[in-house]
Amino acid sequence: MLRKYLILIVFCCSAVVTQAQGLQISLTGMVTFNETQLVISEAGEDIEGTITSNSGVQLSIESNNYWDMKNEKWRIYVHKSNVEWNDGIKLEVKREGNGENTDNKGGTNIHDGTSYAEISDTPNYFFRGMGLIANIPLAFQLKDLSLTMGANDFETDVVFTIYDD
Amino acid sequence: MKNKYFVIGATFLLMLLCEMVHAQYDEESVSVGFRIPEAALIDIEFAGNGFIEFELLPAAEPGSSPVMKQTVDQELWINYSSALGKFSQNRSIVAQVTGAELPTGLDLYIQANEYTGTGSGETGVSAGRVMIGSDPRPVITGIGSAYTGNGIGNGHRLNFEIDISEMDRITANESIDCTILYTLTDN
Repeated sequence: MLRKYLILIVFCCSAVVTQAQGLQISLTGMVTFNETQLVISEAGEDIEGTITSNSGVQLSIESNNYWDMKNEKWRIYVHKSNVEWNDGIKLEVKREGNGENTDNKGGTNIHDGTSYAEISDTPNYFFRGMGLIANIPLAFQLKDLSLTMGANDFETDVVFTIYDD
Repeated sequence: MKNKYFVIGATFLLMLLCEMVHAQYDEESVSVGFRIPEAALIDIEFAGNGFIEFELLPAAEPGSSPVMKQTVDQELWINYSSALGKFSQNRSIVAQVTGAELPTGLDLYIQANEYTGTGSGETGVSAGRVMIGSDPRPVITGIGSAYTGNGIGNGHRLNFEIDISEMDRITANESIDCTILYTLTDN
Protein backbone atom coordinates (compact mmCIF):
# COMPACT_ATOMS: atom_id res chain seq x y z
CA MET A 1 0.00 0.00 0.00
CA LEU A 2 2.78 2.37 1.00
CA ARG A 3 4.59 1.59 -2.23
CA LYS A 4 1.61 2.77 -4.24
CA TYR A 5 1.80 6.23 -2.66
CA LEU A 6 5.53 6.42 -3.06
CA ILE A 7 5.09 5.80 -6.78
CA LEU A 8 2.60 8.70 -6.84
CA ILE A 9 5.15 11.01 -5.17
CA VAL A 10 7.89 9.99 -7.61
CA PHE A 11 5.49 10.68 -10.49
CA CYS A 12 4.74 14.20 -9.17
CA CYS A 13 8.45 14.95 -8.72
CA SER A 14 9.29 13.81 -12.22
CA ALA A 15 6.53 16.05 -13.59
CA VAL A 16 8.15 19.07 -11.89
CA VAL A 17 11.61 18.13 -13.17
CA THR A 18 10.31 17.66 -16.71
CA GLN A 19 8.65 21.09 -16.65
CA ALA A 20 11.82 22.75 -15.33
CA GLN A 21 13.80 21.56 -18.31
CA GLY A 22 11.37 23.05 -20.85
CA LEU A 23 12.60 26.53 -21.83
CA GLN A 24 16.05 27.96 -22.37
CA ILE A 25 17.39 31.49 -22.74
CA SER A 26 19.83 32.30 -25.50
CA LEU A 27 21.74 35.60 -25.67
CA THR A 28 23.54 36.92 -28.73
CA GLY A 29 25.54 40.09 -29.23
CA MET A 30 27.61 42.29 -26.94
CA VAL A 31 26.88 45.33 -24.84
CA THR A 32 29.17 48.20 -25.79
CA PHE A 33 29.11 51.85 -24.83
CA ASN A 34 30.50 54.74 -26.81
CA GLU A 35 32.87 56.41 -24.37
CA THR A 36 32.87 59.60 -26.42
CA GLN A 37 29.48 60.21 -24.80
CA LEU A 38 31.41 60.84 -21.57
CA VAL A 39 31.70 64.57 -22.16
CA ILE A 40 32.92 67.31 -19.81
CA SER A 41 31.35 70.48 -21.19
CA GLU A 42 33.74 72.82 -19.36
CA ALA A 43 36.46 72.73 -16.71
CA GLY A 44 34.86 72.49 -13.29
CA GLU A 45 31.92 70.46 -14.57
CA ASP A 46 31.26 66.76 -13.98
CA ILE A 47 30.92 64.33 -16.90
CA GLU A 48 27.54 63.94 -18.53
CA GLY A 49 26.03 61.34 -16.24
CA THR A 50 24.04 59.18 -18.68
CA ILE A 51 25.22 57.10 -21.64
CA THR A 52 23.32 54.54 -23.67
CA SER A 53 24.63 51.37 -25.29
CA ASN A 54 25.39 51.63 -28.97
CA SER A 55 24.88 47.91 -29.38
CA GLY A 56 22.83 45.63 -27.21
CA VAL A 57 22.01 41.97 -26.96
CA GLN A 58 19.17 39.89 -28.35
CA LEU A 59 17.43 37.45 -26.07
CA SER A 60 15.64 34.36 -27.40
CA ILE A 61 13.31 31.93 -25.65
CA GLU A 62 14.04 28.46 -26.99
CA SER A 63 13.12 24.87 -26.33
CA ASN A 64 13.96 21.40 -27.56
CA ASN A 65 10.33 20.54 -27.15
CA TYR A 66 8.41 22.99 -29.36
CA TRP A 67 4.98 21.30 -29.17
CA ASP A 68 4.92 21.18 -25.37
CA MET A 69 6.29 24.68 -24.90
CA LYS A 70 4.66 26.74 -27.65
CA ASN A 71 1.85 27.80 -25.29
CA GLU A 72 3.92 27.92 -22.13
CA LYS A 73 3.79 31.24 -20.25
CA TRP A 74 7.02 32.53 -18.81
CA ARG A 75 8.58 35.47 -16.96
CA ILE A 76 12.06 36.93 -17.27
CA TYR A 77 13.84 38.24 -14.19
CA VAL A 78 17.09 40.20 -14.28
CA HIS A 79 19.87 40.99 -11.81
CA LYS A 80 23.56 41.79 -11.90
CA SER A 81 26.64 40.22 -10.37
CA ASN A 82 29.40 42.80 -9.99
CA VAL A 83 32.99 42.17 -11.02
CA GLU A 84 34.30 45.76 -10.65
CA TRP A 85 31.58 48.28 -9.94
CA ASN A 86 30.73 51.47 -8.06
CA ASP A 87 27.52 51.52 -6.04
CA GLY A 88 26.73 54.97 -7.39
CA ILE A 89 26.43 53.74 -10.99
CA LYS A 90 22.95 52.78 -12.13
CA LEU A 91 22.69 50.20 -14.91
CA GLU A 92 19.31 50.07 -16.64
CA VAL A 93 17.83 47.78 -19.29
CA LYS A 94 14.77 47.85 -21.50
CA ARG A 95 13.17 45.76 -24.21
CA GLU A 96 13.32 47.57 -27.54
CA GLY A 97 11.10 45.25 -29.57
CA ASN A 98 8.84 42.22 -29.46
CA GLY A 99 11.13 39.71 -31.13
CA GLU A 100 10.00 37.16 -33.71
CA ASN A 101 7.68 34.22 -33.43
CA THR A 102 9.72 31.10 -34.12
CA ASP A 103 6.89 29.52 -36.14
CA ASN A 104 6.42 32.76 -38.15
CA LYS A 105 2.71 32.82 -37.35
CA GLY A 106 1.56 36.31 -36.42
CA GLY A 107 2.94 38.56 -33.71
CA THR A 108 4.54 37.59 -30.47
CA ASN A 109 2.83 37.41 -27.12
CA ILE A 110 5.11 39.57 -24.99
CA HIS A 111 4.42 42.23 -22.33
CA ASP A 112 6.16 44.83 -20.10
CA GLY A 113 9.83 45.84 -19.95
CA THR A 114 9.68 48.59 -22.57
CA SER A 115 10.88 51.37 -20.24
CA TYR A 116 14.34 51.55 -18.71
CA ALA A 117 14.43 49.88 -15.30
CA GLU A 118 17.38 49.66 -12.93
CA ILE A 119 19.15 46.33 -12.63
CA SER A 120 19.88 45.61 -8.99
CA ASP A 121 21.93 42.90 -7.30
CA THR A 122 18.77 40.90 -6.57
CA PRO A 123 16.44 39.46 -9.25
CA ASN A 124 13.62 41.74 -10.36
CA TYR A 125 10.81 41.10 -12.80
CA PHE A 126 11.65 42.36 -16.32
CA PHE A 127 9.05 41.13 -18.84
CA ARG A 128 6.75 38.20 -19.58
CA GLY A 129 5.39 36.34 -22.56
CA MET A 130 4.19 33.06 -24.00
CA GLY A 131 5.76 30.48 -26.24
CA LEU A 132 9.03 30.56 -28.12
CA ILE A 133 10.26 33.99 -29.24
CA ALA A 134 13.53 34.79 -30.97
CA ASN A 135 15.68 37.93 -31.08
CA ILE A 136 14.08 40.17 -28.47
CA PRO A 137 16.29 43.30 -28.65
CA LEU A 138 17.53 44.72 -25.34
CA ALA A 139 19.18 48.11 -24.76
CA PHE A 140 21.25 49.23 -21.79
CA GLN A 141 21.86 52.60 -20.17
CA LEU A 142 24.31 53.84 -17.53
CA LYS A 143 23.25 56.65 -15.20
CA ASP A 144 24.80 58.80 -12.46
CA LEU A 145 28.36 58.46 -13.73
CA SER A 146 30.78 60.92 -12.14
CA LEU A 147 34.44 61.92 -12.29
CA THR A 148 34.57 61.27 -8.55
CA MET A 149 34.46 57.53 -9.34
CA GLY A 150 37.92 57.88 -10.87
CA ALA A 151 39.31 56.71 -14.19
CA ASN A 152 38.62 53.00 -14.00
CA ASP A 153 37.28 50.00 -15.87
CA PHE A 154 33.91 48.87 -14.58
CA GLU A 155 32.38 45.46 -15.24
CA THR A 156 29.31 43.54 -14.17
CA ASP A 157 27.53 40.39 -15.36
CA VAL A 158 23.84 40.84 -16.14
CA VAL A 159 21.93 37.61 -15.45
CA PHE A 160 18.58 36.81 -17.07
CA THR A 161 16.48 34.05 -15.53
CA ILE A 162 13.35 32.51 -17.02
CA TYR A 163 10.59 31.08 -14.83
CA ASP A 164 7.27 29.53 -15.73
CA ASP A 165 4.37 31.92 -15.17
CA MET B 1 -2.50 3.72 9.19
CA LYS B 2 -0.64 6.83 10.37
CA ASN B 3 1.91 6.29 7.61
CA LYS B 4 -0.85 6.19 5.03
CA TYR B 5 -2.24 9.61 6.07
CA PHE B 6 1.23 11.06 6.20
CA VAL B 7 1.99 9.94 2.63
CA ILE B 8 -1.35 11.20 1.31
CA GLY B 9 -0.83 14.54 3.04
CA ALA B 10 2.71 14.88 1.72
CA THR B 11 1.53 14.07 -1.80
CA PHE B 12 -1.15 16.77 -1.78
CA LEU B 13 1.30 19.26 -0.28
CA LEU B 14 3.77 18.53 -3.05
CA MET B 15 1.09 18.93 -5.70
CA LEU B 16 0.06 22.24 -4.14
CA LEU B 17 3.68 23.44 -4.21
CA CYS B 18 3.88 22.45 -7.87
CA GLU B 19 1.07 24.88 -8.58
CA MET B 20 2.35 27.67 -6.34
CA VAL B 21 6.07 27.72 -7.02
CA HIS B 22 7.31 29.06 -10.34
CA ALA B 23 9.81 26.60 -11.69
CA GLN B 24 13.06 28.10 -12.91
CA TYR B 25 13.85 26.94 -16.41
CA ASP B 26 17.17 28.49 -17.29
CA GLU B 27 19.50 31.47 -16.80
CA GLU B 28 22.08 33.18 -19.00
CA SER B 29 24.37 36.13 -18.44
CA VAL B 30 26.05 38.81 -20.49
CA SER B 31 29.04 40.92 -19.46
CA VAL B 32 28.62 44.70 -19.38
CA GLY B 33 31.74 46.82 -19.18
CA PHE B 34 32.84 50.40 -19.80
CA ARG B 35 35.62 52.76 -18.87
CA ILE B 36 35.74 56.25 -17.40
CA PRO B 37 38.88 57.71 -19.04
CA GLU B 38 41.43 59.95 -17.33
CA ALA B 39 40.53 63.63 -17.48
CA ALA B 40 42.35 66.85 -16.57
CA LEU B 41 40.78 70.22 -17.39
CA ILE B 42 41.56 73.61 -15.86
CA ASP B 43 40.12 77.06 -16.37
CA ILE B 44 40.43 80.53 -14.84
CA GLU B 45 37.15 82.32 -14.27
CA PHE B 46 37.06 86.05 -13.62
CA ALA B 47 34.82 89.06 -13.58
CA GLY B 48 35.91 91.82 -15.98
CA ASN B 49 39.02 91.41 -18.10
CA GLY B 50 41.07 89.24 -15.75
CA PHE B 51 43.82 91.85 -15.17
CA ILE B 52 45.39 92.32 -11.77
CA GLU B 53 47.24 95.64 -11.58
CA PHE B 54 49.75 96.93 -9.06
CA GLU B 55 51.33 100.35 -8.75
CA LEU B 56 54.45 101.30 -6.82
CA LEU B 57 53.72 104.59 -5.10
CA PRO B 58 56.36 106.87 -3.65
CA ALA B 59 56.89 106.93 0.07
CA ALA B 60 54.57 109.17 2.04
CA GLU B 61 57.48 110.69 3.91
CA PRO B 62 61.16 111.08 3.04
CA GLY B 63 63.18 108.08 4.23
CA SER B 64 60.26 105.68 4.48
CA SER B 65 59.57 102.75 2.17
CA PRO B 66 57.49 103.14 -1.02
CA VAL B 67 54.10 101.49 -1.04
CA MET B 68 52.96 98.72 -3.42
CA LYS B 69 49.24 99.24 -4.03
CA GLN B 70 46.89 96.90 -5.89
CA THR B 71 44.88 99.28 -8.09
CA VAL B 72 42.69 96.71 -9.83
CA ASP B 73 41.50 93.69 -7.89
CA GLN B 74 39.23 91.37 -9.80
CA GLU B 75 38.06 88.01 -8.59
CA LEU B 76 39.96 85.16 -10.22
CA TRP B 77 38.89 81.59 -9.54
CA ILE B 78 40.51 78.33 -10.62
CA ASN B 79 38.03 75.66 -11.80
CA TYR B 80 39.12 72.13 -12.63
CA SER B 81 37.82 68.68 -13.49
CA SER B 82 40.02 65.67 -12.79
CA ALA B 83 39.66 61.89 -13.07
CA LEU B 84 42.60 59.84 -11.84
CA GLY B 85 43.48 56.21 -12.41
CA LYS B 86 43.18 53.85 -9.47
CA PHE B 87 46.93 53.78 -8.83
CA SER B 88 47.77 57.32 -9.97
CA GLN B 89 49.18 59.93 -7.62
CA ASN B 90 47.23 63.08 -6.89
CA ARG B 91 47.66 66.13 -9.10
CA SER B 92 48.77 69.70 -8.48
CA ILE B 93 48.19 73.07 -10.06
CA VAL B 94 51.43 74.89 -10.70
CA ALA B 95 51.84 78.56 -11.61
CA GLN B 96 54.66 80.38 -13.40
CA VAL B 97 55.30 83.79 -14.95
CA THR B 98 55.50 83.83 -18.73
CA GLY B 99 55.75 86.48 -21.43
CA ALA B 100 57.99 88.84 -19.46
CA GLU B 101 60.10 88.79 -16.36
CA LEU B 102 59.05 90.57 -13.21
CA PRO B 103 60.91 93.84 -12.57
CA THR B 104 64.02 93.26 -10.55
CA GLY B 105 63.62 94.00 -6.89
CA LEU B 106 59.99 92.84 -6.81
CA ASP B 107 58.59 89.43 -5.76
CA LEU B 108 55.16 88.17 -6.82
CA TYR B 109 53.21 85.94 -4.43
CA ILE B 110 50.05 83.94 -5.08
CA GLN B 111 47.88 82.39 -2.44
CA ALA B 112 44.97 80.15 -3.41
CA ASN B 113 42.08 80.03 -0.98
CA GLU B 114 40.78 76.65 0.16
CA TYR B 115 38.18 75.01 -2.05
CA THR B 116 34.57 76.16 -1.99
CA GLY B 117 31.74 75.53 -4.44
CA THR B 118 29.22 73.13 -5.90
CA GLY B 119 31.66 70.41 -6.92
CA SER B 120 32.45 67.07 -5.35
CA GLY B 121 35.23 64.57 -4.85
CA GLU B 122 38.80 64.90 -3.67
CA THR B 123 39.42 68.59 -4.33
CA GLY B 124 42.87 70.07 -3.74
CA VAL B 125 44.27 72.07 -0.85
CA SER B 126 46.03 75.42 -0.93
CA ALA B 127 49.84 75.36 -0.89
CA GLY B 128 49.75 78.67 1.01
CA ARG B 129 51.57 81.85 0.01
CA VAL B 130 53.88 80.90 -2.83
CA MET B 131 56.47 83.08 -4.59
CA ILE B 132 56.01 82.79 -8.34
CA GLY B 133 58.78 83.10 -10.92
CA SER B 134 59.63 81.69 -14.30
CA ASP B 135 59.78 78.14 -12.91
CA PRO B 136 56.48 76.38 -12.12
CA ARG B 137 55.58 76.29 -8.43
CA PRO B 138 52.61 74.44 -6.92
CA VAL B 139 49.79 76.63 -5.63
CA ILE B 140 47.19 73.86 -5.14
CA THR B 141 48.07 70.24 -4.29
CA GLY B 142 46.36 66.94 -3.53
CA ILE B 143 43.82 66.96 -6.36
CA GLY B 144 42.24 63.55 -6.83
CA SER B 145 39.15 62.58 -8.83
CA ALA B 146 36.99 65.64 -8.44
CA TYR B 147 35.27 68.61 -10.04
CA THR B 148 34.96 72.07 -8.54
CA GLY B 149 31.84 73.44 -10.18
CA ASN B 150 32.00 76.04 -12.92
CA GLY B 151 32.32 79.82 -12.69
CA ILE B 152 33.08 82.46 -10.10
CA GLY B 153 32.48 81.21 -6.57
CA ASN B 154 33.55 77.66 -7.45
CA GLY B 155 37.02 76.23 -6.91
CA HIS B 156 39.86 78.22 -5.38
CA ARG B 157 39.97 82.03 -5.35
CA LEU B 158 43.41 83.44 -6.14
CA ASN B 159 45.02 86.27 -4.17
CA PHE B 160 48.00 88.25 -5.42
CA GLU B 161 50.64 90.23 -3.61
CA ILE B 162 53.87 91.98 -4.62
CA ASP B 163 56.66 92.61 -2.13
CA ILE B 164 59.65 94.88 -2.54
CA SER B 165 62.69 92.69 -2.00
CA GLU B 166 65.51 94.93 -3.28
CA MET B 167 64.59 98.61 -3.25
CA ASP B 168 67.93 99.70 -4.72
CA ARG B 169 67.29 97.73 -7.95
CA ILE B 170 63.86 99.12 -8.73
CA THR B 171 63.66 101.43 -11.74
CA ALA B 172 61.15 104.27 -11.92
CA ASN B 173 58.64 104.73 -14.78
CA GLU B 174 58.81 101.09 -15.74
CA SER B 175 55.56 99.39 -16.74
CA ILE B 176 55.57 95.65 -17.29
CA ASP B 177 52.82 93.24 -18.29
CA CYS B 178 53.32 89.60 -17.55
CA THR B 179 51.15 86.53 -17.83
CA ILE B 180 50.73 83.83 -15.23
CA LEU B 181 50.34 80.34 -16.61
CA TYR B 182 48.50 77.70 -14.54
CA THR B 183 48.93 74.00 -15.30
CA LEU B 184 47.07 71.01 -13.86
CA THR B 185 49.82 68.46 -13.65
CA ASP B 186 50.53 64.95 -12.42
CA ASN B 187 52.88 65.00 -9.45
